[in-house]
Amino acid sequence: MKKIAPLALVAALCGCLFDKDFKHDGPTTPEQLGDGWEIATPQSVGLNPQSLAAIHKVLLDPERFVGALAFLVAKDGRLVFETYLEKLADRDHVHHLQSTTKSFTSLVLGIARDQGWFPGLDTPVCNIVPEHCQGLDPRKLSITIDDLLTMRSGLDIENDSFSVEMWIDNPSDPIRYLLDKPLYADPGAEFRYRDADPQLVSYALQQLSGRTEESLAAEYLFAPLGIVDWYWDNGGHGETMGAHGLHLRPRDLAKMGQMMADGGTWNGTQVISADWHDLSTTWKVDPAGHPRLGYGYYWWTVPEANGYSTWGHGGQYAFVVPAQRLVMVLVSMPDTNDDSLHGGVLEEFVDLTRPLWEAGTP
Amino acid sequence: MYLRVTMRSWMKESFALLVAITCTSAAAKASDQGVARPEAGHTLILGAGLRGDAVREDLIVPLTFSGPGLRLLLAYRGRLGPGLLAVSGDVGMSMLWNRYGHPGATLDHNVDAAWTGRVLRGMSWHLEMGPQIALDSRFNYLFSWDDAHGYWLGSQWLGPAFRWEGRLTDRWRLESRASFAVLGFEGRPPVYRYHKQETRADPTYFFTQPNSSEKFVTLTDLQVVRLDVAVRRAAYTNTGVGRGWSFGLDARLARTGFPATNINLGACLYAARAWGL
Repeated sequence: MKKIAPLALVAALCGCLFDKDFKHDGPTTPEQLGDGWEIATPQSVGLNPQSLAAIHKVLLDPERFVGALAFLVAKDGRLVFETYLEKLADRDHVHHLQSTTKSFTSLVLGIARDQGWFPGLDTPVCNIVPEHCQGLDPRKLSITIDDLLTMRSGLDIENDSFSVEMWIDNPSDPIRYLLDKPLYADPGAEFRYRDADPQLVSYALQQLSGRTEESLAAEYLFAPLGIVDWYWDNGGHGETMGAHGLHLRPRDLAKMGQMMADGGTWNGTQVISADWHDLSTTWKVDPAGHPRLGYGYYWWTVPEANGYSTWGHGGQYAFVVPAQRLVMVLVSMPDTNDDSLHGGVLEEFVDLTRPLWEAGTP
Repeated sequence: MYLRVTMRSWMKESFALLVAITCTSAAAKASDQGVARPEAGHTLILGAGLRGDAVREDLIVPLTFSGPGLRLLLAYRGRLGPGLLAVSGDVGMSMLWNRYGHPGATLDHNVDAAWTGRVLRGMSWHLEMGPQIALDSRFNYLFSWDDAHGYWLGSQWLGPAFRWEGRLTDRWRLESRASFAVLGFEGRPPVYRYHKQETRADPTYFFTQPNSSEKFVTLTDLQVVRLDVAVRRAAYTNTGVGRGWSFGLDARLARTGFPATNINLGACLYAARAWGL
């Protein structure tokens, strides 16, 4: 009997180790923080509080949207719903937005284009970075900025490999390294979701401006939006990561969404042109495997809602319905590896928020 | 559900093994009635064990991940002055799952040294006590929740060690060891991780990362407890290189509240071969 004691001890110790609730039913009314957001009630902007409560209930379910951290809704320029599923401190800290970063790369390129120093979208990227294109396969010389913006460069490098090869292996000439990848199809022929394409856009921005993409964003995007707290991961050569790496507070992501919902303006300031807003959020290509969605310039289009959204791994969304000036933001844990488990599929978020956007959709 | 059944089955088998070890000890008692001989002054021990681990890393999510694994251990034991010096190192790995079936893994390596001297003795038993130092590193990869980063608890600690040994027969002993951390240093990851991907391709990462950004801790910050109960067939040297065995159950708890709670609980059933030198 004495010899069973250690087992009993282990069993007793195991009892000390229990699961804790990781989602909490916290407040949903936004606080006035003096960060540029005007606060209002859902009723005052025509949103049904019961619809919001139903969405909140789903987000609190420990088996749905498992990694959800923050959910915010803004309408008519006012923040009307804000909840933090794990801890309120997530409100005041930046979070990795993963591939939502790509939509910011689109915005920075749009600003560059609006300012007139970025060439036409049909310009081959090798015209911008010619010193990295010596002796390339001639087909690659025809990869245009438009091909890069629509994930049709044809350069074959899986995203998992991209992160390791680019950010850990740190090649000496990363632009050439990407351009040396084999082609899965002729440039412009086929959509394949690749981190390499927005990274080449980021390199093109840096080449033309002599500044990193982050530096451009800080001056022309974050400053007008009143975004003062961000982190943007850099590569080994100091370059901004164009496909992922941007960290923002959830409220600041919502600001970007509201700016888009208002055709490129924030609090009366034109941040991007209405032309770039329309061009970048228009359906350009069919994204394979997502029959309900389209793809613009690093924006996913949602035809059933007449809207568009960012989409970051794990469940990072700024879903915009411009006709209703409606923005719905979800920020989730960024590095989960099963999107279906964690609610990291955009269509699921579109369905979750349907009661909000469907009411005003003709 | 399948995993839970598997775990229950594993625990049953482990219990059966412990019972078998106990029976072995009783059988040995019957056969070993020789004259008491001195144990080898120096003993080298090599062993392996089946273990079960439970981990909760609140920096990711406060869900318990648990599952089975393996451990390899190498130890030296020898007389040093009036006491017994015991140095041991082990490495181990377990596969883990939480209640939703989300997978993960834990890897750990530990080195410790204890020097204990007798403080109490009876007719067939004695109790030793002394200091112990330990270097523990544990990596938890809960990749269903974070496939880009490891979460670690690295610690170097000092605390008391206790060793009780009772004679079962001339050659078989029942031995129990316990130790806990009183003060030391611990390394933990930050609350928020900024980098897309960690450089895990570099093998030194596993050794350097847990010891980075360490802070001084005491018993109130870091709780480490180790318990070990074993039956041991002593190694003797009067017939050349003596050989012995030990079979035991080792349980470990490591807990910290910084910067969020991390609890690691493990138990290992092991068998080890000993060579007297």
